[in-house]
Amino acid sequence: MDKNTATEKNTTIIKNATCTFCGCVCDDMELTVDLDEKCIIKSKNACVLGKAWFSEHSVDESRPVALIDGKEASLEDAIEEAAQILVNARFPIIYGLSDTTSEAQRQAVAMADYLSANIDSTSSVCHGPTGMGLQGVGEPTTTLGEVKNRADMVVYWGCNPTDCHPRLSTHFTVMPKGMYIPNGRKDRTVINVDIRSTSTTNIADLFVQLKPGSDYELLSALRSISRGRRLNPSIEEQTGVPMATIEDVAHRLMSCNYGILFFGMGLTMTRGRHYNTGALHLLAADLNEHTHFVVKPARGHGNVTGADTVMSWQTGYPFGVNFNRGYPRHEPGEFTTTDILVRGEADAACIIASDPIANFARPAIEHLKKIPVISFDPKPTPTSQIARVALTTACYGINVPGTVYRMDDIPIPLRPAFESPFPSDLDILKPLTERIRELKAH
Amino acid sequence: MSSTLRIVNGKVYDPANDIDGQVRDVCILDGKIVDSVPEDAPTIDAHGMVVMPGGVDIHCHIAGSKVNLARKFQPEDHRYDPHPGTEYTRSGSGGVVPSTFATGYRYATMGYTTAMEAAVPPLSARHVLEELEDTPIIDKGYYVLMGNNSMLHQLLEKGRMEEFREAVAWWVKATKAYTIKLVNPGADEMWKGKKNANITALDQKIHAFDLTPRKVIKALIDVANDLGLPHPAHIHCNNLGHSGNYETTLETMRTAEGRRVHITHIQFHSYGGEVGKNPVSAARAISDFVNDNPNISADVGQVMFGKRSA
Repeated sequence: MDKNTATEKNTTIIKNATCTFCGCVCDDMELTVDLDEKCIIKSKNACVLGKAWFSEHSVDESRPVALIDGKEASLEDAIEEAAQILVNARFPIIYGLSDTTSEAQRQAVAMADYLSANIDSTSSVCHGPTGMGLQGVGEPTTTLGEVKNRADMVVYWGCNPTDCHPRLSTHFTVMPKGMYIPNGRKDRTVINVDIRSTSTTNIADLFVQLKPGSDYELLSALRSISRGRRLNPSIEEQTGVPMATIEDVAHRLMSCNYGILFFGMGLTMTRGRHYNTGALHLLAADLNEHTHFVVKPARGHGNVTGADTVMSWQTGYPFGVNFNRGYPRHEPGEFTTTDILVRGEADAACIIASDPIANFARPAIEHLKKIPVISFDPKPTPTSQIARVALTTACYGINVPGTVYRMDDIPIPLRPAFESPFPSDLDILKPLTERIRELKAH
Repeated sequence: MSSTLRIVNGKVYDPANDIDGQVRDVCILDGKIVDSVPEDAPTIDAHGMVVMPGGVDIHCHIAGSKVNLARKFQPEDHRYDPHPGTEYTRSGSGGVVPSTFATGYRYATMGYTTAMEAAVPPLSARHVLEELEDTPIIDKGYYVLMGNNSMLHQLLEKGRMEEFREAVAWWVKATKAYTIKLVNPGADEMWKGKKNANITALDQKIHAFDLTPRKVIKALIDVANDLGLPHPAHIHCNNLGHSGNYETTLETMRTAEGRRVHITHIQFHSYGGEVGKNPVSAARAISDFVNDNPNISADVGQVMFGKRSA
């Protein structure tokens, strides 16, 4: 026997594993897993964010599976307490869902339905206005594979994928060679539009810097040119972009073979919101009079796209859904979580795989601190710290199998690396829903 | 233990057995209709109701990314048609594209027992499976899109027919599809090109490939027959909705050369007249051809009144 064997690590390699950190959902990871230590020691093909995601999600078996009022509790007691809180609430809300499997999202919507609760995802503070924009104007859509194989024009507007989705450009949209893009990067033009230069500016052929809050005006100017209209020179003052640059951009967009507009929260979370996204979708529609043009939101969390997708097929609406009349209704501003909390309406909250205490506006956080909160998270978070019932869950993609939806709505299967002693979100949501149904029946 | 059921007092319609509106009992033993069941079998009183074989919708669009996008488009449409839940059923919304649960309940209420989703790109198959799992009561299945597949185009162009057949078989198996579907075969390449163009004739060259729609259609009809799929290649012909398109439809049916093929929503492919002008009916030419060629099956398609999604 080799004398080194005893000290060799008990490792395994998972090929074609899926990274669920961001909306790219790269599914070509090769993970080296230390099965004794329950951690990932190497993640080949992952970007800098993915490497951190994999290396930092080891399992701490000393953590309790559940805390009630900060005290260790059994899973059964925690589920009972959570069910009692939710059933006894007059306006329970369910929120989060962007970092869990679509299987868990489906169960969460079922729970909201049986509970006559409000359910909403992180979309409402992210790309919700994208969903609202396309309700008015439609969506010229595509997949990342089509972009890789066909797009010779890539526009990044109000987003910074180099920092936030590092492999979007290197794996899908800019660097790779494709069927009609034989020379990869050399065959593509990249335009970055933003109010400031970012890391993405460094990979762009052209950077267009506009004044904050003038996206709608610049989008409208580009639409006007594509429709053969003359611009009022005041557009330079409004947007801070020289007329010659606007015309140059418009003509480049109109003359490409296949163009894509990626956009981010620079459009959705600044003044104008869904008007901005609507204008962007209409620009793509107008450009289809000249060439083939499509749009995609550069979406953030690993399965935030799935949250919209699942809620749409189960209720008809993508986010901000309320069941209190016994059927789903949708109203951004009315049934979106921040607004409900700021108005002080919710009297219990179930937060699944997200951290609103770390991210919401101050008045929303203040109300959340006043009501009983149930939190689902693999890690301690500011939200779990204030939760009445804090549940420790296994991490999707790393410990939990299932399905997630890439930013282009493509479903991607998960190939988990190792088993966690903790339950998945779905493992908890199923008995919790059953218990809620029992309690409601009486 | 065997399961038994007796449905009494219903008005029975069963064309296959020449039963035309007779009021009589229907007895069921272990899922099969039989002459009789024991006296103490559970009984359903269907007085005032029709008892008929379950409807089978062989071509519908109820699941997947395109249907779900249509749901997202129209919150106002859902709002006019809420579908409340009960203690046992899930709530949802109706309208032009109902939510999955409402879809299942409403199909069942209309007397359907099966619905086949007719257009699924392989990459979205997993999404369709998830939605169909959330579509209750009815049986479901789907057809996988193969008529504009770049990799199949490449194999076909090089005449690698053995690999072509194996690739189709793999896709059908991997996606768990019921059969293959062709939509406007060969035209996607033109549409994704700079001019957003379309194919207008079966012998037109498919952009970037040394191929024609006719070659794609013939190859896929042959593969579906060779593989013995339970339903033949399901074809949405080229030139849908265009005046004069009945000739394209006849050509597509001739391409089968006697082998099994299904032509879908055929009424929209049965127009005479000139392109760009009002259509006239050429349904006689189409129906004569279908009647004369037993290898061909067809469905007429549904004219949608009122609101629709496009």
